[in-house]
Amino acid sequence: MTNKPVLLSDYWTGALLLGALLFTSSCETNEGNTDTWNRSVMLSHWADEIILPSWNEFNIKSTEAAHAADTFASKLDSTAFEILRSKYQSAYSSWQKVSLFEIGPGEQRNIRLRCNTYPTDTAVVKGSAESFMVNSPPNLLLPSTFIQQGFPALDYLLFAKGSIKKQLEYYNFHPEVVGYIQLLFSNIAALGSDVYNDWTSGYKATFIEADGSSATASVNKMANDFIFHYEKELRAGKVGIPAGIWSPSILPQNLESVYNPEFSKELFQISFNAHVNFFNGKSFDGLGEGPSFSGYLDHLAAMEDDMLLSDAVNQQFNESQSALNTITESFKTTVENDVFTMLALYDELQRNTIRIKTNVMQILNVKIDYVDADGD
Amino acid sequence: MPMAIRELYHTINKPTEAAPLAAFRVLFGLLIAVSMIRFVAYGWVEKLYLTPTFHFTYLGLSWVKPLGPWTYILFILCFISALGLAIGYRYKLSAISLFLSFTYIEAMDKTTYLNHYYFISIVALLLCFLPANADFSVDANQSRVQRQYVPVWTIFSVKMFVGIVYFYAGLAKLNTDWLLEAQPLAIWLSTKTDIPIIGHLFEYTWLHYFFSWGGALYDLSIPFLLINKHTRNVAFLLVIAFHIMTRILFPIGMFPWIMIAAATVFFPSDTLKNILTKTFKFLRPNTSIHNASRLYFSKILVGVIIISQILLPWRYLVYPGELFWHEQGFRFSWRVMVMEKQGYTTFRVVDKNNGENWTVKNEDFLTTFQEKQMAFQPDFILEYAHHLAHYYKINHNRDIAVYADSYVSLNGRSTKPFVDPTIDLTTRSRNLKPIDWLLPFNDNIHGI
Repeated sequence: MTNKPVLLSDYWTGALLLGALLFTSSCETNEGNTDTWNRSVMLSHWADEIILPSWNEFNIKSTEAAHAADTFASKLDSTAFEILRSKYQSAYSSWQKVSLFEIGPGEQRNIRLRCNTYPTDTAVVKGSAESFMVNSPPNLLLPSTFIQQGFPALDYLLFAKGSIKKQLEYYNFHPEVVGYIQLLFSNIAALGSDVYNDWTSGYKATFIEADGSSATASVNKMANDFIFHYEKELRAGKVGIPAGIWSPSILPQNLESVYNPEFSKELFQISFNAHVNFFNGKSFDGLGEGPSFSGYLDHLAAMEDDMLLSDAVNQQFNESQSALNTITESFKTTVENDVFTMLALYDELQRNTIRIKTNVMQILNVKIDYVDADGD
Repeated sequence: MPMAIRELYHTINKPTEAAPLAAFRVLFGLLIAVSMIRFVAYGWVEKLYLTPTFHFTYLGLSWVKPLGPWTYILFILCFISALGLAIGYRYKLSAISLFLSFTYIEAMDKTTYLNHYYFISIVALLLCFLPANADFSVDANQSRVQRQYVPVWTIFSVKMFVGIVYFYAGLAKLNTDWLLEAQPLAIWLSTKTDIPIIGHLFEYTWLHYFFSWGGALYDLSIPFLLINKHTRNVAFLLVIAFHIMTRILFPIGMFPWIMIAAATVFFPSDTLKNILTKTFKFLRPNTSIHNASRLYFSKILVGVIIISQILLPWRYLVYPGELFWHEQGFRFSWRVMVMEKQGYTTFRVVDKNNGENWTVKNEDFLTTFQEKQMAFQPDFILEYAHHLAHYYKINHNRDIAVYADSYVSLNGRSTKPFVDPTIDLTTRSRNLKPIDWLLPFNDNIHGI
């Protein structure tokens, strides 16, 4: 019986604690929170100002390239061929701006693998092109065909012979090849328009609605995609692999745009800019900025030593740009004759890989999306 | 024997109702059974044990490996043992088989190490020596066990162990990062603003401190609040609230339910007996024998387990340097969710004969999960380095030196170099000696 008052007071304490917590929580709600980071605003900005305009441009450029291929097929002259090469380059340049945004419709279609798997398998490309028949085209949806399609296969088919004259002679001798070129261009254009249409007709809403913090939410996925693309496509694919980081010797034949080697550096620059701009929330038209990873890091007061973590990332981006600027020759020539200059660029890119994969991902509390095991 | 010790000895051997042990046995067995189904259903057997071509092993247990498709049999065995344990059928066999199968599963690859898996292993081990089938069990119902009462120490040992887990988890939080910086909770909570109702609060620094201090206070005090009959009911409500909160905030699987279930062992036997009588009446023994067997042998072993649990977490004191940095003595110590660590580690290999060198593609050898875990844990880094040397010897007949390029960010600090990049890791062996190939932390985290 003597226990009773004690018990009661314990319940009181518990109730009081819970009550206090609920009370403070409701108080805060009433005050409103202007400084809450709004993920859905950030996602809207990404979708409206960066991702959709990028896909829109790619849709236009890839369609133009496909038309140029059709025109060339009917004319087979050097003027049409020059136009085709230039439209191909515009489309490939535009590709560098969307490659980072494979999330959703692009991923569903394996668009990155279909558009830009390199090195291309020249023997397979040559075989398929020279024996191409309109009535029985290869099934380019199959993963085994990723090494014989997309821009890298076109790079081979449009540039491997060298001069325009030699290219035209080749097509003259193997008219089937032109049909294959048309097929590859039309596939890229179809992918571009499908992905763009999916974004405009519903995926954009899905993307913005997934504004949570879980592994499947858009911010988490974009963070994963961003670092994945930076690490694997930009740093490794365009620079590290050809420079021989993962092999005992250099691999210049693994460069992007290896048959048109003057173009590799430009493609790198466009892709690099896409990463920097996305990190900082810069609009596609270059006119404005909006909420971004950089802003989110600042909001979370993330520091690296005495400087803002976002500034540290951007400073390192600048270092990478400087390293790129010291490369005066084409990537191919640089890898072959002066690999240390190429490795210097790799090292600068690598510094941000480390920073982003450790400190930035930690502060953004990003889960690695395919790891969904428990924690404790 | 002095009077006090004799009295204590008498007290711990006094026969008492077995209901708390029985209830614990039932809940624990059922939850493990559910965990096994969940694990298999999520495809984790495939993903964590069958897909990887290389597995990180525990020192001395490198022979424990996944068994290919037979690995599923292990999970089935574990599931059946857990059910056997829950209903108390062939109890001792069930408990031993549960302990062995579960522990084997956990030892197959330390990438998946979780404190709560370790908790389950130790509980299963304890149960091997505790007469948890004395009441409300098929064994008792079929008269395979002769006594329905158990000595007091058998129940107390479970309470003691659960208490140790909480209390040490609390001690591990008594450091400057946790208390003064509210780390790593500040990192984890800041982005959880999408949680319904309270999410917006996670923007506020005071809440990170409230959770940090509250969490430490909770862990340190809950064993005593549960054991004290005056505070027990409130304490149990706190247990439920705390673990549900952690469930909402973090992906911690079955852990909250297991800890809530474990807390029931603190309830008085009458309460538990009444509940069990209502739900498991059919498992009541027909006869009732109100004394308990002495279980000398078991008593000693359980004592050894409990004492080792008290001592083991302190082994980190033997190692110089910052525990969170080198992690020697970090596992098996109830340091639950006390740090956020991200690493990035790659390996440069050099052919000793011709000087050829290149960087290893980690994805050729490790899954994403393994690479993530390897990147910040020294013992993983070393084992993997040895594996690389072995691989190039066997497959390419190359003698290689392995150097790690390693960077780690701990509790929100700037990323720092981790492993000494000038040391060929093949010259270091796996053992319990202090690691001499890490770079210094150059910062201080004070505390226990």
